[in-house]
Amino acid sequence: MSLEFYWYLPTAGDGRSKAFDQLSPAKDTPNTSIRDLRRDHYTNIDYITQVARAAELTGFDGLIAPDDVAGEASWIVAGLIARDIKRPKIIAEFSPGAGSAVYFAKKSVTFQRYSGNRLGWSLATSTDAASRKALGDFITDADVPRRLEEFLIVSKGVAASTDFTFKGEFFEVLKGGFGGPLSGWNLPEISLSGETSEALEISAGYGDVHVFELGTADLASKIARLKALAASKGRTLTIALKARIFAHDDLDRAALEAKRAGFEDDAHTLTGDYDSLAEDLALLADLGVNRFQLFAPHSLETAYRIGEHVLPRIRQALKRAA
Amino acid sequence: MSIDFFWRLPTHGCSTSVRNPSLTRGDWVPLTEGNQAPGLYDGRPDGSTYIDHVAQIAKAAEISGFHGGLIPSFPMTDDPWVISSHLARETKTFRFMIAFQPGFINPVETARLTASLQRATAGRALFNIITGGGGPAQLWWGDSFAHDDRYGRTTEFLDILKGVWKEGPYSQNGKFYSVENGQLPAALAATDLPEIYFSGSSDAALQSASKHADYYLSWLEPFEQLKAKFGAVKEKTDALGRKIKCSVRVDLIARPTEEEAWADAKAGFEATAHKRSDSFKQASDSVGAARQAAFKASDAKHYDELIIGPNLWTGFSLLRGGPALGIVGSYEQCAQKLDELIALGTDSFILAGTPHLEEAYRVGEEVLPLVRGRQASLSIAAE
Repeated sequence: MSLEFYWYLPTAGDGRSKAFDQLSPAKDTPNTSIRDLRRDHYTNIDYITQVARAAELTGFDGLIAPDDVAGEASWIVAGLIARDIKRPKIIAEFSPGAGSAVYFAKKSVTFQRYSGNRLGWSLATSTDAASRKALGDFITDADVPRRLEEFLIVSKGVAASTDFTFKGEFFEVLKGGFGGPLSGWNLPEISLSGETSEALEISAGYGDVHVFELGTADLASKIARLKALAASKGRTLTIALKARIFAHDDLDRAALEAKRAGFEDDAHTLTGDYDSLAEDLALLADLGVNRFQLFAPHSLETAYRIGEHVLPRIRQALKRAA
Repeated sequence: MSIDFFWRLPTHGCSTSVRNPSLTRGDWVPLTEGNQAPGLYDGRPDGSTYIDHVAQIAKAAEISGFHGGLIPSFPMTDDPWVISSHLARETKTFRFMIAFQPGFINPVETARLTASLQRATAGRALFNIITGGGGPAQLWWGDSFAHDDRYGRTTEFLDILKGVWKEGPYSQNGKFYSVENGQLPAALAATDLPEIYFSGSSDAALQSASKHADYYLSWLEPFEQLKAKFGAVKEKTDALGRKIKCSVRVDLIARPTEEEAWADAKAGFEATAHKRSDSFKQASDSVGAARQAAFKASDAKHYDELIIGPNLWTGFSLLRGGPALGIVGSYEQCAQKLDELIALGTDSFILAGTPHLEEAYRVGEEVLPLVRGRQASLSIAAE
């Protein structure tokens, strides 16, 4: 069994960026009694790239740029870090409502060429109609899964063929596909999510990764159901679990940090010392989880703590077991 | 008022010489010894990719005095958004002129992408909006709208992009795009809108340009024809209460002497004799492309049949994909041609030469210092 660890980038800022970036909800008032030469040289982007490097240096397998409307655009963030990040995968989260399937597939070919096939897609559309309309997306709730399916059909089609034609309700293409050096690259690994039967069906048919949230009711049976569905189509899926995490070498201090951030006893949050977190993650892995997608209100510090202390514990335990 | 000079980033490979127009930089040809980005080292791919070469050109352009570069987008090219974000952090002043067709990305998403890029680069993003094109290529992209409809769509696209960026929460109910209470987070909204370069030679294009464009961009056309076109654009947009500037996109072969420049044009022409295909003989409803195809470059038997005036040659479309007419001459003659273009109403240039890396240095160091700009306009106008 192998386990992978991905880290979310704080594209909408976190506690750290308030000193230098107005994207942070709580921008500090400058202290005029000290000489501050930063002016507006720095933005959250400088911090995000440090978090990305932190995750790479501490052994994470991948990075995720979330599609958070309060922050930087995920695709730009993915590109900004791509030249600095040499090993980890980079997942860009976006909605199929953001543009045409052909265009996203084409843009991804360039990314794959430059990064050596390290781009991933995480496709999700807001479940709230008002939020969608604010993004210029007037699709109905009922159509969201059908559009996702068409997006996947077309993007997979043009990635795999040079003569792909499709005319759907949401996307179309005539004799599509990529030639010359743009051909032969992997379509990015596709992460999908959701708990409805429809969502599980689409994942089983088209997805590479299905992401559940920590705190999902009956997680084990949902994983089993999804795996069976995929198997019935001759496919296998990676099961990912998304969780907020607080880690400290002292259990009480970890709990204190979680409490301060307002996530005490939160169903979507893991809190613990390094040993207990390693145990918790191992238990979740036993339920069928292959990938953990983690984030924290203190992205940089927590990435180091997890990468330096928790990941080695889990990886050593896996080696011993093997 | 000073003139803006941009260079071009080639997005589908580059040759080592205009005298031998095969693409050995980038992987649009099979890898062999001497290729680069990717190249071979000890018989194996050397680990570089095409972005490493594009980065070299962008840095050469900013060092040698260009404001930035146009990053073209076609079915066979790499993507300008990906290139811009990849190079944002390793360039200092280079401005990214992103070519794209509004039909392929949602306007709110585009506002978010661009504002994020503006933050990452301290305001170095700008647009080259493509609307024409058309023919089978449009359906390849998955776009089935007709030519004139596409300009209406571009207008709406830019209405919404600017609205959510600067007037949010913004609502608009359009024929092609709608948005309800769209806006950017304050930090993104505080960035500057990108300058907009707008192409298109049809009437529908001009109508749309007059509403949103900052620069009207044309390929080089015969000077009188270009002067009339720029005059019409400025007249039309002045009438609509919006001042618009004009920009020319042109390739040049600039050498220490005119003889050397023509010798290189001739060598390039002869090197393509065996596969004399004009890059503009393709089905399209683009009006600008039709004007370039009218030069019939591929019918010529000898390079000098394509000389249509002093230092003006219509053979460039034989050497690479793109328009036919360009400038060939000594450094002084090239600068003189640019001055003539400034005199007839050009406010900005997108230049290019092959190979893009070395020629960025050459044109930046040898030709741009000789351009007299508006000062020359006065004396040329007086002649």
